[in-house]
Amino acid sequence: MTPLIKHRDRKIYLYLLLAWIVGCFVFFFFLYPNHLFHREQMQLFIFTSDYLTTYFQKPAWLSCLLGDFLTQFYYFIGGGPLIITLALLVLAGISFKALSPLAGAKRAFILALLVATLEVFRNTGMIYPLSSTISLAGGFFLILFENAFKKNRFLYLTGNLLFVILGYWMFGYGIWVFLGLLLISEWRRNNVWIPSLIAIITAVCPLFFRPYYLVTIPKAYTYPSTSFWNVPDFDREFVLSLDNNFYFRKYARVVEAAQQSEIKNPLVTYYFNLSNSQLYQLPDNLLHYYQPAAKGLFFDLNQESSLLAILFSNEVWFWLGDMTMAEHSAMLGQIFSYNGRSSRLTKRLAEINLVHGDTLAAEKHLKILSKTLLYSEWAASRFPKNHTQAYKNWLEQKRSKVNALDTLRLANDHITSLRNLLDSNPGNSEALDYLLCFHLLSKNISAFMDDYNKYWKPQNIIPKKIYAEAIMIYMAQKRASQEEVTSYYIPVDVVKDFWRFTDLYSKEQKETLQKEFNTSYCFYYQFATIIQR
Amino acid sequence: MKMLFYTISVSLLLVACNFSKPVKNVEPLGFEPTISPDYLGVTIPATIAPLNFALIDSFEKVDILISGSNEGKIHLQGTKVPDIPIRLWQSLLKKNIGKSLEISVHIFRDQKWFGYEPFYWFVSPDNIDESICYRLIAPGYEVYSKMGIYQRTLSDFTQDVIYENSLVPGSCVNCHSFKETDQSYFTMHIRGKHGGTFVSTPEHPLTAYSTKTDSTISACVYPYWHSSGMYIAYSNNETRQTFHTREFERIEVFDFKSDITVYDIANNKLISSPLLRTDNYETFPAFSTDGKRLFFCNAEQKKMPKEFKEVKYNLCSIDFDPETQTFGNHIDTLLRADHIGKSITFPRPSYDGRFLMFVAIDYGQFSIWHKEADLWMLDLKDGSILKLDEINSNDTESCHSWSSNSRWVVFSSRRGDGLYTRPYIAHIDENGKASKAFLLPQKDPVTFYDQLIYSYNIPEFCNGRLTLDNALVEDQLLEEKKPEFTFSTQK
Repeated sequence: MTPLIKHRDRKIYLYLLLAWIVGCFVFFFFLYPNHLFHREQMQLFIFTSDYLTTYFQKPAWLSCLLGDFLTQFYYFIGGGPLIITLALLVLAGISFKALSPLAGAKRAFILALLVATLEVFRNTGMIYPLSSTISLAGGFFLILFENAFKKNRFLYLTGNLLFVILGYWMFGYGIWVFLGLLLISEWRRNNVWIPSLIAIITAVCPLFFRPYYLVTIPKAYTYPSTSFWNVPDFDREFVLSLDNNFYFRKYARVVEAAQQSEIKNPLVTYYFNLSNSQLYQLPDNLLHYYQPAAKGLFFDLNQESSLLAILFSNEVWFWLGDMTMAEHSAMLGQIFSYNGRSSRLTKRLAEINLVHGDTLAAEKHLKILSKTLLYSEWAASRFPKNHTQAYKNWLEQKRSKVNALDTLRLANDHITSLRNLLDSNPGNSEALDYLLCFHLLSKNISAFMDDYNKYWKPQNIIPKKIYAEAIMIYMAQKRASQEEVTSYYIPVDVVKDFWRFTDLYSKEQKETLQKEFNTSYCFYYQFATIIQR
Repeated sequence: MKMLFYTISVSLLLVACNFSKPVKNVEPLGFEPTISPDYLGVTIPATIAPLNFALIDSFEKVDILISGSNEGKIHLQGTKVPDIPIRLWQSLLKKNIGKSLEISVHIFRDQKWFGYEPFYWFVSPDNIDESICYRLIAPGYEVYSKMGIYQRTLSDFTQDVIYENSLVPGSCVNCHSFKETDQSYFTMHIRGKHGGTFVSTPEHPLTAYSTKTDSTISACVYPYWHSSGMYIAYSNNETRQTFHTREFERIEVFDFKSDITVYDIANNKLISSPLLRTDNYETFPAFSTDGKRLFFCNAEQKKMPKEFKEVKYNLCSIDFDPETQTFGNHIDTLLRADHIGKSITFPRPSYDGRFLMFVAIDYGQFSIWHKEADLWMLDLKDGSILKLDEINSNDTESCHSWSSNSRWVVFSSRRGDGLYTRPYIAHIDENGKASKAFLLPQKDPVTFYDQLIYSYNIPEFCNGRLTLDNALVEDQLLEEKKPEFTFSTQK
């Protein structure tokens, strides 16, 4: 047996391979880790026979099963980069082996690295599954056995057709790799008819199985791939990094990262606001970052909502204490996550129902988690009989914020939801800040004043700076008496700044205004424009 | 190799010995076992799948003896409750039709056998239909994901897909209905960009229609077949989905407007009466078994959503002449909401014409998220009403349907986990007395229902195999222009 690559060249190829491995790992570890973590968070791999048999309801059961099983280990730091690098290495190895007879070892090596690099790009997609990479590897793998059928024509035809069917069953769209290589290999030997027959049968194979798998025609031909080409999206990576930092309660880091970034994205604003709220500094920092009106406080969910908005939308309600809205949003996120099950959202749904005191519903979610490798321990500790005192205290604190009054509201009627929270618990300062900031960002000063007078003023405390500025605007608009202004305890600095702003504004000195007042509410009120997209 | 053979043989022998530990020196516990699902004392049809269950108690070994009062036995032993072998089960049921099965459970714990009081399953002589059809749906709201209509054989655990919305992404599978469990008369409504209502009868090929007309307030929903198979009653509802601020009921759907129409299949025409299109809310139509009356629910219009808790539906009916396609000239109120202090929804007459089962809730019409939703029955012969305590629970019971012989009902209940509805089946005798309901059996029911993330919605008995030509469904859904219903109203 002759070596595939000559000894003297081996070192070069080895170094090239090592460089590729290091490059791939470094890219996913340092530059793109949050996408991988997000992918793990949006799936849930369950060890029950009923769940495992669902893999047979769609093509590519083997690659999907393997891919999903491995994806759960993206949870660990470095787990995702390591698994992807190894998977791509396996893909490169198998494709090298498969391509060598056709292209020669050197070219095969380059082609194999190209295939693996292409997969690096594809794996930068947000929902691109690992199973898609495994399917490709499966397609290359099958072609390695093609020689076994070359004894006679009948065996060749039946053997390869069997491979096509088995290949589609196990690897889905990986059969196109198998078919492509088979055709190249045979046409080079001037074998036209039988390979062409195999190609025709392969082409109709997905259509034949489609009634059983119940998928659309494009899906039947591309399963389990979700896209043919992806490029790294570092803005989205940044958004996901905020989501993950918020998940691990690193609120200060989220605030700092958002302020340092130049990205203007409602998803970033959402986590910026939410983290500030957790640090009790939402009104203080509100205008220190891009605010797309009130769209960075809550997401309006409808058929046009982005996937990330749907997945993230429960967070704000959960932390403000509106558990029915949080549950509603988490349920929506859950049905849009991979296979309708997300580890993070299942945990969230369990927590919501624990806060509700709906033990039966909470246990439903906990029982699902208890059948997983990574979350069974978490689930065990959340069953009511196992609650620690610290957890009981946390639940009590969360329960103190929930709605006590029942009424109806539309899903996107945020104001009613917030007012209900405050009517139930006037001490819910996070909900109050969200309500007042919602009005301010919507430039609805009269609604702001109504709710300020109802929920804040009775506390007889000095207003936050932007609230004071909004009150000044309102007072100036209605030409209020000195006595009325005084009743709001407006700090002297705010009053002085307000008159200075008014003076500069009347002189149309926009540059000075921008320089001195760009984080003031007066500036936002006068200059921010709402653009409908 | 030999060594391996001996090792395997000895292991198998040990396992076999281990499994057949004789039950002796039993200490009686004096009470029945707690099992999941709760199948204690249920009445079952002779063609139901094995009632596998789990024992909620700790044990090292369990011994189960299922004895027919007529003849036959199944003896099981294991370290967990074993599955009941399906063939032995079917044979045992057959031999004990009209009799009972005694289930003796013994557990081995702390080197000792303990015996529970036996419990019983009553094998009804009344037949049940071959299968049930239902929609499986995740509890979605503004947007929806995977869902479909499925058919489950009752004598085993087979579930077949009738239609899944993965075929046409973005479509929402809605109401489906058969004519008195006859699947050859079928209608199904699909919402979404490519939505449409499918109608199929032996004489009328499967066709997707656009059911919204200029004269009706919405597309047609809540279908109910006329016994002749010539008509389908629909309601047209302008609805709004809202959310409770407290956790108990979660979702509320109410109508701003609702009317009732009847679809004449042969002439592709909706017909109605001014009495069914008033300013009141008219909804949930259902034909009487003789086809000469149309039951429905009717409530006075209120300011919505402000007065949502004041909307209470009465049970009403109007005469219908299928020959002349005319409605009666007055509405009969069969049961007033204030008579039982509840709002009456989802009326379903039994196919023998004797009873009418309905759901009673505190207010409104969207029973599925009302925890207090219970099943009630009206005796159409003497007008008496009865709350069916035997089959109700302290959570939602709703969406019921009758078997073709009117001796069984299947309904959705949220009693399992408070979140997802599951199908329960109960026997109703000729006098309207209900037996305790049992959860649809599964091979491993505890794991199955614990892990299930879909609700069973509108379960309905079906007396044959329903097959839909999915390619045809897909083609018709994707058609830009679907045939439209026409409309005419009685003067």
